[in-house]
Amino acid sequence: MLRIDCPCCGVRDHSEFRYGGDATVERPAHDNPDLDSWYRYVYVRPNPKGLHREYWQHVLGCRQWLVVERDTVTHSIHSVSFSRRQRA
Amino acid sequence: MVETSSAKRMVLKQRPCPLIQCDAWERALAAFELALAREIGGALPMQVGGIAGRGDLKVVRAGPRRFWIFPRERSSTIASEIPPELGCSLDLSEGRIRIEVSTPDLRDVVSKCLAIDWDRTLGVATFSSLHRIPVMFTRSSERDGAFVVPRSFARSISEWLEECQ
Amino acid sequence: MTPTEKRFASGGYLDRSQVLKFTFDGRQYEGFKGDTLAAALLANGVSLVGRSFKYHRPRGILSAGAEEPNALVTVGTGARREPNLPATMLELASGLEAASQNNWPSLRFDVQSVNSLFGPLLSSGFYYKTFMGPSRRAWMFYEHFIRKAAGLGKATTLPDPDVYDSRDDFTDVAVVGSGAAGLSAARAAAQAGARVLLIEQDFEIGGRLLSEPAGAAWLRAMRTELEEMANVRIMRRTTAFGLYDGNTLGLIEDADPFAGPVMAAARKTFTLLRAQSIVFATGAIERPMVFSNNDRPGVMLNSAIRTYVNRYAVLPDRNVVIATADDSAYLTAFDLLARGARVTIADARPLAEPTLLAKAKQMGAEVHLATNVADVKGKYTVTGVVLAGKSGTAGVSCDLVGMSAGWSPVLHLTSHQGVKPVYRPEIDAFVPGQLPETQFVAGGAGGSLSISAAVAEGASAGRAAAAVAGKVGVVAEAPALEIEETAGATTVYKPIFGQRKAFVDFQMDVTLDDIQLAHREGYESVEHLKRYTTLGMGTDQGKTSNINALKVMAKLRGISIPEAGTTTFRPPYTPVPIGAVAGRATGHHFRPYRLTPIHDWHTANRAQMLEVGLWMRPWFFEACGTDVNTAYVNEMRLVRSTAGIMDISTLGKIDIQGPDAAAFLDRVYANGFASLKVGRARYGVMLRDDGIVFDDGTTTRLGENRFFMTTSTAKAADVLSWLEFLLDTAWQDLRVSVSSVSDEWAGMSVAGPQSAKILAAAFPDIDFSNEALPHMGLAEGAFKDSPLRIIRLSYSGECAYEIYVGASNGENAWRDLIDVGAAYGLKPYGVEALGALRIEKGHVAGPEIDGRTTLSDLGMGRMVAKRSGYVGEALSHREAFQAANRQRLVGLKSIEPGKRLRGGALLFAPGEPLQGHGRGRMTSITYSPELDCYIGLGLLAADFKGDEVVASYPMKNEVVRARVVSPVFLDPAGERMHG
Repeated sequence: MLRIDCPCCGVRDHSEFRYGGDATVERPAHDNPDLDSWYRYVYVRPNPKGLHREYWQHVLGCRQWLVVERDTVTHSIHSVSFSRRQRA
Repeated sequence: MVETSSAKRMVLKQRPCPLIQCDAWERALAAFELALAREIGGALPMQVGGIAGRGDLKVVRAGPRRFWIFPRERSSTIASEIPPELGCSLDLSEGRIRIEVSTPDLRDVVSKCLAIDWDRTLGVATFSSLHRIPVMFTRSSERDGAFVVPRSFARSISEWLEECQ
Repeated sequence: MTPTEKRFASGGYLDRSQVLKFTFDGRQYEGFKGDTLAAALLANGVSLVGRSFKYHRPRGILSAGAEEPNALVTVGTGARREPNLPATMLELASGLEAASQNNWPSLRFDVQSVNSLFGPLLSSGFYYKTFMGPSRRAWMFYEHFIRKAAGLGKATTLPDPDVYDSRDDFTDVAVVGSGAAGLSAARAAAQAGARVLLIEQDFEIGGRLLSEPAGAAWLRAMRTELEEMANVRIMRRTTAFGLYDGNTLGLIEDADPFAGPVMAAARKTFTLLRAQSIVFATGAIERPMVFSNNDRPGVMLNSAIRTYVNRYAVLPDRNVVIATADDSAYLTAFDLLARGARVTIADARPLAEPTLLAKAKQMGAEVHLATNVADVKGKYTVTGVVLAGKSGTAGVSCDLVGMSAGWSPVLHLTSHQGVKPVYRPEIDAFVPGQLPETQFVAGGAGGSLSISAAVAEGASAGRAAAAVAGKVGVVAEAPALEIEETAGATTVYKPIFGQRKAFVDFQMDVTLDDIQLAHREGYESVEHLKRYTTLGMGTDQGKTSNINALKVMAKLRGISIPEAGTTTFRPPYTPVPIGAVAGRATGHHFRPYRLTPIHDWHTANRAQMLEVGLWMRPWFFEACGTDVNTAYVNEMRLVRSTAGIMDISTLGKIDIQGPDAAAFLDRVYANGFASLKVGRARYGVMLRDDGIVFDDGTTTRLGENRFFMTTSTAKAADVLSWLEFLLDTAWQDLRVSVSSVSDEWAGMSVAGPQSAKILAAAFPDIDFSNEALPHMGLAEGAFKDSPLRIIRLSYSGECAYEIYVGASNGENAWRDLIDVGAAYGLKPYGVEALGALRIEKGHVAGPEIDGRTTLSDLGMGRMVAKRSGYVGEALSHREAFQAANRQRLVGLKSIEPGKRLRGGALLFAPGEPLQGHGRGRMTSITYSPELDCYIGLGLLAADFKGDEVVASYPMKNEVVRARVVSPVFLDPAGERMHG
């Protein structure tokens, strides 16, 4: 059981969360029509061994989308922060 | 209100749950909090899960920018004066049921429902998952607790609570 | 020895006032509260308790703990029959019915023990070599017999009548094991201020201390102290069977058989425990020696003999040979001698600790150094051994053989997360490797066999574990524990080759010969050895055999033990019943169910309900027919000719508010929403980033900054999370709030030519004229004390209205509509008819929006022709989506009267061989009463020529010809719904 330390709810089981994929890729602007940019955003992944930043939503708690830094080898979680730039 | 008393030890009540949700826009949070505090006539909880309020009104912080206001009776005036440039409000008074549970085995019952640390649940609202259903749990003592659950799951959850003691 | 001589009149951890009657293989025996089944059997002189897995050799009791490979019994009868339980762990209770396993017709005369005559035949790799050759025919023939001959107990096939619980728990410090180290750790952590959970697999606290008479007072004092501390909880009869991510431990707890008839008490309870820190004080397991016939009933581990003597006050037999490579066996010898047994010690080592030797001799034992047991005499009981020493071999008669070949720390849990054990040659044992900062080891689990070391290590581990949880209170010195101790292994025990029927793995019947054979045939790595010989694959998971096997293989290969490595330990440490993991989430509670506000009306009005995801929805109403095929067609006729009412409360409903709400929707929907006027609704389609259609629904503009979105029932949660994702990550500047209001509103749809009249009668305050409420128009009002929203939109193609009422008045509104509508012929209809109506109208739904189709595929490409800046836009233009053979939505109409179409059928050109994936597929089908034939929607290659296909459904060998037509079968101009 991964235990994710939600910045506002405390440590919870990963089953309260929804996985949202790679948080390192930059989403192109909504009106960017460039096929290649979107191709890279949607499909190209480094798939690192070690630390990986990924999105998780605390969907059964505060519903906030978070950025979780997880080690893909040990499953240990190094940091958790709100995906929004600043905590209000 | 539906009241059932199963196996003598547990008393379970289903009540309507008047609820107004208020959301702040991120950059207007401070001003929003001032406005909301003024509307409800008291300070807001600072922490998510914190509960504040006066006699007939409880305010729970449900997220960094989200507040749940539980009035005793449904009302269309609560938080209705929030300026749209600060945030918005939404009446959720019909979508949830408050299941009140009273049993000396409350800790044991909760351990079969929620993956939360019992010792950290007194006096706060815990947003968690019961069979992958989002619920809000509060308790006022070792034996009196309440689950605010989506209306469509209220019967399923009540049956579970009655049978898992 | 008669049975009465075997049980001492006093001593041990027994409650002699509670005499418990139990049966074994149908015979009645008596034991005491505090006994295990194994102890009670030994006290009654029963030493033969089972037959072995492969050779059906007679077996007795080897150990006194969870490592037991031999004494596996079946407990209970009928639906409660549970096989393969180690008698050494079974707490004796009144009325216990146990039976031996793997024998026919009786334990003593087992027909299949002839298997042992063919021993060489059943050696390692036997199955593969004999039967898995060029042809598998032989295997097919023999498998049945082999499976019958080899095996253990049989589980019941009846439904389980018992209740199980599954629960969650939390603690600061978890201490696994309650021996000297565990007690000391729990006490220290609790004194430091941490919440402590002490977990003990036995029904008695104390671990190895229970076998140490000198430790009794200390144990009592510690137990009392812990029981009195408010921040300590003790779970007995509880095995920590697995360690998982995030310091999560899986625990399985047996019910207390003496707790009395507590209503609905769970037979077993599964607990998922989250601990901030963990102290592993799991002790160590003694290893057997490897010699000929070391599996005979009456051959036991020395530590087990000691446990039976001291904890259970049982002397298994009086003439004892103690074989050892280890000092600790001398303590067993002393305790036996003190009880009047005759003891011969065969110490494999050339030298032994002089004080031990002197004491043994002084107490009357015969001691032979540099001497091994070469063979055991006797079949059902031991009658003697052959000792082999420097001066040759000699026969010694005896009825009990003890053996010690060193100790294996119980490090299973510590390695479940991938921490590799490390070999320490000075104690001849693997110990846990480098653990994370939140996990600690104390006592035997870490290789410290001394009890005073265990106490000290426990205290420091307990303190450190509490500190992890931020608790650093003052810890008082633990009471001193004065106890006679011996050093652990002083030499490395090595099995001697050339011995026949010398068992390494007792449960899986793997011998020294088998390992040598595996080595000769190239199965050298421990992982190969395990799979080739099945060593370590029994229910005991090789707790007593792994290290000996490893030593044998290391010696055969001429490498060191660490070079040979160990196999990976995986959960569970001991078997876990699946029923306990499920807890009460079975049957009716297998998953939660979801009811609409109108549910009770449906069930009271003869609706046949259908599970749709978690929702219960009306499938059809018996008012229109008692079987679904009759009913849905009649319900379709009803909607097309008069009016029907349908519960649509299950639709996902999302409230969207904020100054940027319109701009937000304009991006998330592929078709435009910024231009939507207040009070009007629009059908919208969302794409995924990859250009595939995600979901569709209708969104209504309630105000300048407020929208009411509906989604499909199935995608409601996904859509909300997706909207929140966009707002929380890429589009943080948009001031928009999204919230589920699915439970807030009851929804019902009234469809059919009479619908406007019915609504006008039901809601007299609202103007339902075409001018006031046109197609895609909104009317708002109130119904009783709930808000009311009526949106005129159609899924069926008829003039239709969606009525949303606050959920608490949902059923009232439904009843009003039914009452008022009755005069117009209004009746309810279910999801079967709903699905059929939308197919007639050519509306796509889940079967078409299947995660593979684009807007163009679904015939909606023109919706976005002049649009840009929406989700999925860029990748929807990719080349692959424009391919000439891209499958596009078509209508299909059966042209063979009486033949039905089937969803999932593959589409082929007439005359084409019916092979492969075809040119397309049938996605949705229905019988159409309007057209009086089966119709369907399908996806068919755009470059398909011709207007006829062959629909092949290979699962039923059905082939039907169908005409390719427009997907809109009915009223293509939409005159019906515009009214």
